[in-house]
Parts: sequence; C-alpha cells; structure tokens
Amino acid sequence: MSEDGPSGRLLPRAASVEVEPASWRDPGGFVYRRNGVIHRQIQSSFAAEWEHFLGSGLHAKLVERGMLVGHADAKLEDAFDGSAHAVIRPEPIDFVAYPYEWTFGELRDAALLTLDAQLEALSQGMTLRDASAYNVQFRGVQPVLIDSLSFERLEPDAPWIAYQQFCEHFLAPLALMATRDIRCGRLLRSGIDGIPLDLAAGLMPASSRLRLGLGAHLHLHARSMRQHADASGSGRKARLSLSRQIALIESLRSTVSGLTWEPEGTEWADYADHTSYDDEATRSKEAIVGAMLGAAVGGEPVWDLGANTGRYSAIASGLKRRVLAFDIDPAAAERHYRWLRRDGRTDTTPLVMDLADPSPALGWAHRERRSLEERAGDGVLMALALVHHLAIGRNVPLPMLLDWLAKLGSELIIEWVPREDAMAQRLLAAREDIFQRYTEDGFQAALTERWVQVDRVPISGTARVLYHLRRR
Amino acid sequence: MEFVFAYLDAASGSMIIQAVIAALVAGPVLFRSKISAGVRSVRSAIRRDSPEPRTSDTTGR
Repeated sequence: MSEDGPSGRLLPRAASVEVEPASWRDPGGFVYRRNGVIHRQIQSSFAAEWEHFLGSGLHAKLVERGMLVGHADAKLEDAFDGSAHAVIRPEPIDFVAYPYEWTFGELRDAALLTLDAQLEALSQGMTLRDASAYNVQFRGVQPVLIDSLSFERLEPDAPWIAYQQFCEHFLAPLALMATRDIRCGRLLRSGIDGIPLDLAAGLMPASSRLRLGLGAHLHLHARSMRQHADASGSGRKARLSLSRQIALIESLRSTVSGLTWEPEGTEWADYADHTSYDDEATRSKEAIVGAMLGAAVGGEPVWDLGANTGRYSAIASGLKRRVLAFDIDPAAAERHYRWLRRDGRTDTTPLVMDLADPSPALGWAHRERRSLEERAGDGVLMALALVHHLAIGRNVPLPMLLDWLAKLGSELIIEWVPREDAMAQRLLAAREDIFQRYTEDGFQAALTERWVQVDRVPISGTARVLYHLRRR
Repeated sequence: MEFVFAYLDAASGSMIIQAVIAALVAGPVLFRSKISAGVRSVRSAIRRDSPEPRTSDTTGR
C-alpha cells in the first residue's frame, strides 16, 4: 500500500505519520504529525533560504521577541520522505483558530505583528514571502507567526510579493469592520484568500477614498489590479527600492493602527451589567462553577461557550486552566480581549463564534481549514446561560444540543435555565411558544444518552440549576 | 459570457502599484518619523537638563 506525499512521490503508508491537510501549498516544506507530534519538513529545494534565515540571526531574534513560534531540531530519520533537508518540531499551539473567529483587536494585532516581522526581515536583508492571516495563531492573547518557512532572501529592488495578500487578509477586512460594519469580519469565512480588494473597495464608504492609507492601499491598489489584470507577467518587472518598501510597510502599519472600533452598545457587550442575577445569585453561581471546575478531570483547554466578557472564564484561568472563550457577539469578545491584554493575562483566548452556525470546514476538499468540531479535544466545556438561547432562541432541540456538545468535550458544566426565568421569558415573548418539551425533565431525559450526571446544584436565589456532566 | 477570469493576472497590478503608492506615502512617513525623532530628542534634552532624581528611600518610612 502506498500514498502520494506532498512531493508527489509514492510513499510507504505509515499509520503513525499524517500530513497536515492545510500544508500543501508551499514547495519549501510542509507539516505532518509523527506519532501525534507536529513536525515540519524543510525541503532540499528550500535549504539555502532556510540556512540563511537561521544564520542571519533573524530567526533567533523573532523567536526571542515572541513574534515567531520556536522549534526543536528533529532527526533527519524522522523526515516524511527522502526530499528533506531538515526536520524540526515546532512548539505546539493549543488550538488553531482562524481569522474569521478573531475579534477586531486580534485581527489588527495579527496584522501589526506581520508588518513588524516584515520590517525586521527587511532590516536583515530578508522578506516575508507570504502574509497570510492563517500564518498567525494566538497563545492566550499574544499573536505569533507559525510559519517558519515564510522568510526568504530579499532580491534587490524587488517589490513586496505578499503586499496583495496582506491587504486582502488583513487591511480589507479591518477597514470594512471599522468603517462599515463589524460583522464584515465574517466575509473572511466566505473565502480563504481573504476579501478581494475590488469587493472591499466597492463596499467601503466613499469618504474612505480621502484617507491617504485606505485611498492608496485599498482603492488605488484595487484599481491597479483591475487595470493590469490582462498584463500577464508585467508585475515581475516592477522595482521598489528598500527605502521605498520600508515606507510602504510603515504606511501600512500606520493605516492599520488608525483603524479603530469601539465595542459598545450591543446587547451582549453590556450583558454583564444587565443580567437577571442579584449579588447573592452571582456569588452562588461563581462558587458552584469554581467547585465543578475544580472537580473536573477533563483535559485542556477549557471551552467557555457563550463566554460574554469572560466573567466565568476568569474562574477557570484562576484555577490555572487555559481557556478558549467563545461568544457570538464581536463586541463582548473584543471587550474581553482588551481586558486580558490590559491585565497581561496569557491563559485565555477570546473568539467570536455563533454556536448555532459554527465554523465549517473550508478550502480544498474541505480539508484546509477544519470545522470547530474537528478541532475539539477532550477538554472541559462550560455552557453557562446558553441553553435557552440555543433551544428557544435558535430552535435547537435539547437532544441535538446535548449530542453536539458531547462531540466538543469530555465534561460539561451546563446551566439549566427554566422556562419561567426572566431571560427565557424574554426570548419567548417574541415568538410562538412551540417549546413544550423545554422542561428540566426533558433536559434530563435528553442528556442521559451521551452524558452521566456527576452533580446537580441549584443556584441560590434563582430557579436556575448547574449540572456537571461527564461524557459516556 | 466569456470565462476569462481564470487567465487574468491581478497580481501584476499589485506589484506595479507598489512603487506609486510607496512614492505617495513616503513623504508623510518620512515627515512623521522626523517629527517623532524631533520629539524624542527634545524629551531626552529635557531629561538631561533636569536634576537627577533622588535615590529611593529603602527604609520604608
């Protein structure tokens, strides 16, 4: 039995070696798992660039500053195939999140990191040969580049080959989110090559043409791409001096830094200030959640589903747990991100996610970007004040909800919100009541197929109940 | 309808326009960096002229 490797060769099939499905575009190397451990093979064809990158000191400097993920050298015998020049083991990333799941601030910080890395590379006679947003991941709230093979030697007076990609992956979505509507970030989910510049330019307010950075990097850029679209190959003759390229990157940096968005006024960003809990109920809920998390034996990270601005994520991080804090509201997630950055916390990553429409698999053969479910592990899930939103607000039947949650984690701390609760009543007020099965008995019946009840504790001063469940 | 999109090379426009945009933005970028450098030098001059801060009191009183 054999299979095609990334180099096109026929390889012996080894059950313990698996190529990362997203890693096939780069001829310089690719990522694979050997016995579950991430490895990266550097191809012989990329050897000179790789050795120059290491020898120039740029690699060490970027890693030291936390801008690039570090790695350990691996044995050449661990290579995927015979075309390897070297093999490394990159530091693992807890959870691979995608740009369409980031908050505005996360996308902007990832953009600035990319530009700073390019400026650093230029100072060392190198350049970033791609500027994909997917090359950035978050460790807590710190963005880090994960593609060590993105750097190559700078050809004299060559323009930045990744300029268009940077603008499509970062500048266009950020500009639309800041000037048009924050939900434009979801456009990144409709294509893994970012937002086409002509589309972005068409959607932008007319006044954006008058802003130097947006006028140049978006509008003029899009127009030039249209004009030269049939001038095949002419771009290769373009020239750009180093000083001009630095000015270009500095200008991009200034443009990105100037894009701002204030996360206020949405329903959920203000939710923490307008819950139905009084102080006693809040203290009771915090104590119960803390105790259930303390008793949970599931793996990491903890997934806080419907985290809002992170009140209960903080309890998990206080117990030295790493946390992924998902919320549907970009404003709530952004506020959470800013608080974490301000407090210097490094254990929690806020992400934007509509749990009734979670991230699907995307890209070639549906395998380049994995769905949320495919990225789940055996962690602990928290679903606090969430069940009524999905079951009543989005019509998801309780058995389906509990069945899906069992695919995301091995333990579940879930809050039952009864029909008579003020927040459930608020949801019911706007729709026909077709939720006769939405009862605690119905909830208990639904959970038994996938879950075992570990604990059940009512929250003082409310009719709500917290359950600690373990997957069967 | 002609299916010509597959043969278009939009990247050429991106490479070509960089020189124009860089020329356009180089002035403001240079101006900003000069201003920043000026502010930094004024600040450092002020720091040089100001008296040394007193050594902190480590007795805790």
